[in-house]
Amino acid sequence: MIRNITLGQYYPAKSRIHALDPRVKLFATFIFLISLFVNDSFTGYIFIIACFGMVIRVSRVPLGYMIRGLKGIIFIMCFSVIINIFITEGQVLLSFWIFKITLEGLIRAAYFAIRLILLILGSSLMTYTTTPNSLTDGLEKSLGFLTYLRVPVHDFATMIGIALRFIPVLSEEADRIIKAQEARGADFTQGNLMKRVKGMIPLIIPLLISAFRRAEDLALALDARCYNKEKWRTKLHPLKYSRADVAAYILLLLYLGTVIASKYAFEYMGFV
Amino acid sequence: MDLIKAEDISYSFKEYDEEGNVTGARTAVDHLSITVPAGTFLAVLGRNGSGKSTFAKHLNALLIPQEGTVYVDGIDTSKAKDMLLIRRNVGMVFQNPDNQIVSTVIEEDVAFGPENLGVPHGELEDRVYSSLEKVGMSEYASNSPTKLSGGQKQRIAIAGVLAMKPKAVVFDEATAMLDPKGRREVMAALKKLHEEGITIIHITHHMEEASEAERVIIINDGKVVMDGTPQEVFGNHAEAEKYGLRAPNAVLLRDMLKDGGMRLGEHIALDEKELAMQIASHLRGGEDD
Ligand SMILES: Nc1ncnc2c1ncn2[C@@H]1O[C@H](COP(=O)(O)OP(=O)(O)O)[C@@H](O)[C@H]1O
Ligand SMILES: [Mg+2]
Repeated sequence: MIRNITLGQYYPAKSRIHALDPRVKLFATFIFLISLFVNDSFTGYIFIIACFGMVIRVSRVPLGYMIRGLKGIIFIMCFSVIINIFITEGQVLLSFWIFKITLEGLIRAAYFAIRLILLILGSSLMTYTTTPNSLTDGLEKSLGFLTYLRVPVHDFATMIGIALRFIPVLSEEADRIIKAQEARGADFTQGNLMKRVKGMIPLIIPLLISAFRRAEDLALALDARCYNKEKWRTKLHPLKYSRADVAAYILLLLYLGTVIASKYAFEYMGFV
Repeated sequence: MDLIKAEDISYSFKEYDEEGNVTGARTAVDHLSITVPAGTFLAVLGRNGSGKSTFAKHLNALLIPQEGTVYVDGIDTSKAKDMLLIRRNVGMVFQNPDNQIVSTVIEEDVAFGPENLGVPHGELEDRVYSSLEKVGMSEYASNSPTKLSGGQKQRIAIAGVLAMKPKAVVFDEATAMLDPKGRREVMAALKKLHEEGITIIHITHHMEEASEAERVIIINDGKVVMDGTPQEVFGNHAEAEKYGLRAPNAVLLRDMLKDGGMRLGEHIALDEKELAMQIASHLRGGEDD
């Protein structure tokens, strides 16, 4: 049951998107996010969706696989769509008791839903096409400037790396403990919520104790292998930009330029 | 030349009660002195809690002695500015195979030490792949460590230490959690390092492993209580037993045979095979060695 947790889920495939430098993909996600908030026209969304659709095609991540990732947000999305429909003032289409549905409300709700869906799809495309390891590398490099503000960027990157390393170790251990406790008659699957939460205690406590022991060992191992604060650190596989990465940066800037320009062009011409 | 020299070192841990007040001190290393010449294969024995790990942590500045001094390759370990140099010179392999691998990719784990030391890129690659080669794990370079056996994980840990080009490697019960196959793999890697001239300090509970060393010490209550070749230490097994150790079976059997009147030579056989040869030559007639 614990194995089902997939963190930083990666969809292995050989594609041009997979091959891009993680920094480019982080930048792309950022640009995509900005474009979603800048844009407020219907034609703009058509352009954004068309571009995004092409990227998904190139990435070779199946569309169904991507859409499955939306399941987790269905509730939150419906909730905010409904709120948007009811609280927006404007031309009333339908009204009952204290509720009014307005045209503006419907449009706003639709835009909101599209934005949210694209936001989630956009960032999940990044995790689908980038291994957790190279994502960490990319983050460390991209946020490297924060080191000058005394943010321990490398320490955070190491922490994320170690967390990724120990997720399978601890989940295996959890499975072992569950089996051992079940053999002694513990039941993790039945009873009401309170009972189930209580039932987790014989799992959580030994797992925590072991995690702390591992952390202690690991701290020694890091010290023994010369972990330090100096800036001279090198890398076995340093990130290097290729021509494709440069091209991707140019395309991304063109994309953002188009979205921003079209917004002002439309405003200038009088439609919104 | 003495690679490691501990002069009268002591270390004690504070003891706390449930409220966190200091109630006393437990002496883990007690006025211990030892010198280890470069290239030695030293085995360290002693019962649980005798202070072996605490002693080991002094050899690469994970702990600094509260009294006395440790010199590694002539450098005092308490000098903070040389700490990285000392840790590079004396690598350490720990007991739990899982808790010392830090990366999700094997080659990146092996690279961790030299990366921290800022080894330039080309040399870094050489070191990583030649270290993996030495422990026989090249083919796994780009895999995840998760699916490996215990013995394989320990070999990765050894490769990670080797990539720092150490002068000595301390194995702190590195075979204790392994099955017999894993233990053989780790011992094979260990002996290979020794043949290449690296000083080995092997803490173990397995007498067969200790009898392969050139020198054996027994630590008890934080002091070195016996020190000599495996023959000398195990030959005096009555004393070794006082420190909670049992000599290898071959040594015990040899003594029983002698007590029973068989006249075997002075040489102390450490394993069954050697003893069998001795008995055979005795039975064939006469010349006892
Ligand atoms: N971190 C610690 N805190 C308190 N006491 C410790 C700590 N580590 C070791 N000790 C104590 O020091 C003594 C020696 O421990 P250790 O060096 O781990 O022995 P060994 O490795 O031979 O089993 C033991 O009595 C142990 O309880
Ligand atoms: Mg120990």
